[in-house]
Amino acid sequence: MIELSDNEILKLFRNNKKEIAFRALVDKYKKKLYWHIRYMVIDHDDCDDLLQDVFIKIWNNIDNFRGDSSLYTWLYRIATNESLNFLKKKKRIFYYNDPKGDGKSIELPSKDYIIEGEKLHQKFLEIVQNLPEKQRLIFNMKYFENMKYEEISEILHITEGAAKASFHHAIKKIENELKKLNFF
Amino acid sequence: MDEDLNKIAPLLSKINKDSLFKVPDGYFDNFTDRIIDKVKTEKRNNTINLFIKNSLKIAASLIFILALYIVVDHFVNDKNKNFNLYSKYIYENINEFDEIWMIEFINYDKNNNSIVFENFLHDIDAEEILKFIE
Repeated sequence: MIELSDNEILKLFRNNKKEIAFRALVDKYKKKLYWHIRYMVIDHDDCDDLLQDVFIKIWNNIDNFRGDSSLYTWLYRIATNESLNFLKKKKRIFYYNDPKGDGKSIELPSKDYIIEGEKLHQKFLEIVQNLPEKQRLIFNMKYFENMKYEEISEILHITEGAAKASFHHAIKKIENELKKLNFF
Repeated sequence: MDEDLNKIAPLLSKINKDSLFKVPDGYFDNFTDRIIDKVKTEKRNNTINLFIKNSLKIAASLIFILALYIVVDHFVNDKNKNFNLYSKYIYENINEFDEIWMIEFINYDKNNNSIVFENFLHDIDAEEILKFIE
């Protein structure tokens, strides 16, 4: 199937071909947005719920999309906001269940969401999970999703310099933590 | 980025980032159909919810209008009833009208909070009227 450009998709929406346009949009962005969310929330089931919510939000609000930003940026902003809101809610529940916990160190639950037999992967993900939320988001977007700083800055409403600095701080922290492990 | 990463964070660059997470087999294959079905169901539910919401709004408005009508009707009829009563009384007793009667009448209404004259009678002093008549 030929992938349509964002402008072609928007044109279909404007021409009242909402379902065809939406199908093209979902086909084009489902994997990208899935990974954007997955790197933040880790768990597949959580990610699946959030991805569905994101696309429903897009369906409900596409008529109000005025094109102030690109479609790509708008979609990523919705996915980012949904992920951050989900994490905030989860943190509240976590704190409610364990009010005496220091809340600083997050250990990933022992669920089979990572490739088996890779203890290093689990440790690595734990280190990433313990980065401050915004820093982790920037790290994910650059390291995993290979986004340009320009794209990151547009989606997160920050300067390119801030995105660059945040990414460099993150990789320094991760590298230092990796050094402490005996895997290398 | 990979070359830079190798220099800045050599350990991090050794991690195979492409094989970190599992995704259930065929997850993406039917995702589009699933989400299209979901938005259609949501749309249907929203239409039904909107219908229920609008019906409730209309019902609430009707109840409000009815309640307002009952209240207004009650006051207006009461007002008219009192007004007719006073008119009848004045008409029947017009020959006996004098300033003493008027003072008594005003004082009577003041004490009984007549709805008809309540708004202005409270501001009027009986002696002032007497002075005015003189």
